[in-house]
Amino acid sequence: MVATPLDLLTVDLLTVDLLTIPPGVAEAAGLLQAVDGAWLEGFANLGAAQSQSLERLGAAFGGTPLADRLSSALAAFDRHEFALDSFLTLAIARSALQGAMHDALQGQILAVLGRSPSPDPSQSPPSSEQHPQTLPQSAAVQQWLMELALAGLSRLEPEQWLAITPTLAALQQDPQAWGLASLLTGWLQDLNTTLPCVDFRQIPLHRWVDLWSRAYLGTLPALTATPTAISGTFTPLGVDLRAHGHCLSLRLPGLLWTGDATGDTTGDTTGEIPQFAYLNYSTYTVETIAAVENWLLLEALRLPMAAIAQGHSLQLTGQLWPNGALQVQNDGELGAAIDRPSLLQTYFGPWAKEAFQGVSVNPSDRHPVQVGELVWFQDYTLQSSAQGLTLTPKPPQANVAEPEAGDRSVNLSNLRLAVDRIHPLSGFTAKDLEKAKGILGLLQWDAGQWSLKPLGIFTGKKWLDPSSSAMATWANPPKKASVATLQERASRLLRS
Amino acid sequence: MVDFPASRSVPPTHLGQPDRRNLSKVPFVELYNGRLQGVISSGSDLERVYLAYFQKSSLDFHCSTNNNRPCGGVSQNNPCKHLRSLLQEAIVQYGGDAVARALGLEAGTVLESRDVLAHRGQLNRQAEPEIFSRFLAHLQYLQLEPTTADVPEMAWW
Repeated sequence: MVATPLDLLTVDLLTVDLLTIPPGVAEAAGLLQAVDGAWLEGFANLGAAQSQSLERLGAAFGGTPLADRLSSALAAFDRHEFALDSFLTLAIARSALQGAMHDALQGQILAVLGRSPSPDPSQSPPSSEQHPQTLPQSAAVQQWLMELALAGLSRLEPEQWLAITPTLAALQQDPQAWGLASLLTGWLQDLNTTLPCVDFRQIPLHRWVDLWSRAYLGTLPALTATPTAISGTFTPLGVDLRAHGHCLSLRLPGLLWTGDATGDTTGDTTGEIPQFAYLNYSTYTVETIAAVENWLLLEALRLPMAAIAQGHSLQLTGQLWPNGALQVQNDGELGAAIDRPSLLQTYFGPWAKEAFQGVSVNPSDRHPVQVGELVWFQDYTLQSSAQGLTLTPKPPQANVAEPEAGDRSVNLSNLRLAVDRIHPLSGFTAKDLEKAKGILGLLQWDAGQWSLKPLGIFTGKKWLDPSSSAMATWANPPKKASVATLQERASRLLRS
Repeated sequence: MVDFPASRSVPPTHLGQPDRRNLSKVPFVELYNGRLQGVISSGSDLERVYLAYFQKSSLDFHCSTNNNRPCGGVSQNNPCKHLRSLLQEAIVQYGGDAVARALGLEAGTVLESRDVLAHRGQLNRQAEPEIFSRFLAHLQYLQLEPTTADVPEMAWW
């Protein structure tokens, strides 16, 4: 498997940067790109090029626990024998490669930011008490995925991809299937808007095969880790918004202090190392609803959004999952006021003085798309170039009293700002970003490069982020909201 | 040198429409299965809605009530006001370029409803009752339960 950059670069950590691609990552991406061609052409129509790529995949797994299984699957394809199990094996192989890429990239970003390595997820094994259940729709989803793979994504007819519609409607009703249902819903919309197409280059092939693999693995019984009951102070610091036409999914990352003796609600004075955690809230929506009116579907987030907008912590009781996800039992209550810029600078600046306890994604979620480190920049220069807007942080002044604070060379120069990920619900625009005095964002990897997804900005006077957009909408809801109009229609028509 | 493929949608798909559109007039519009289709409220009767569509490429069009009665206002030479409203609201919701792409017209040529109507095909007699069930399925999204669980799948958006 791919070594992590930490193994390879310990000789000279000072040169770690974000421009160098960790060893093995480019090779893995190249292999995936070649293999994905089989899904484009269809496994029923494999040509020499696709068969060779699949052979390369088999060779890459030689000597691994997956080797035998993968070579049997590939041999079956050669004989034109198509079984669900062969496709499952391909999904596993793809996911294993991307898991290794994830580990290398996660190691790189943590080394650059001087953050401690993520805890080993195998330290929090799945609960043996839970008996994971197979979704009743699993077989139908697997069958559909196999049909798409056999036909080839470039050759699909509408009735082939629309065949999943009744199954999907049932999945959407099942709270246990939320992730799989939201993924299939979004992908189906992608398929509807992109296909049929004359030019197959319009197909985002890698992305679609990713969604195919993730959906396949999502039909398997989920081994979930065990959450811990917690009670403490959670300070939400921002909002990461992910959305497709039918789903809004919000993550509110922040720091959690659970020490019983915590007198000071900001936690700093106790010496306790806070833990990175996040609240989640996801809802279905429809594109008919005007952008900001979507906040009316998200009123359950009033308290944490108020905490972010007004700069407060939250006192809460709930459960903490090993991957950092928090689920609260009740709403909790607003805690002490916090100094957000200083808290962010202390823990999330590129030269952060204090450490927090990081988290690892669930082993089955390891994929480059899941890498995302929260970072705060308040002293930096912005530059417009051919690559778009880029950010270069200014190193802190050398401090004689505290030499260790500024001596680490953090190579984050010319970091691309992903302005295309600013959403109408973000609460700020690309123009606001250029005038900002501070930027909170997620350092993410995609399409071969690192970039900063902006989550919120500080103008010097106020914060602009989704919480400001939400608070403004809740304070002044539209007189005749489209949500209400549609919900009223829905209840009338669906009843009759 | 590897040309790294992208996993996330670029640019993010469907940002939610920036403008409010007229939902009382056109509660539903979509680009689906080779058609621009939607549901248009009747101006006079609260209980009645019209189902209308334009077919991709041919731009053949149709309008009828949800009880499968032909629309009195539509003819080959006079596309009815329902079809005009459908186009107008589709352009607000998706933008002219997406509407052009969905109908097989050149990008940049669709700014308002008449830019499509100028290329219209034949008045199609065939109703598409599927539009109404699509509308009901669309409304169903607002009845689904939200979740407070982690949804790692949404990292692809």
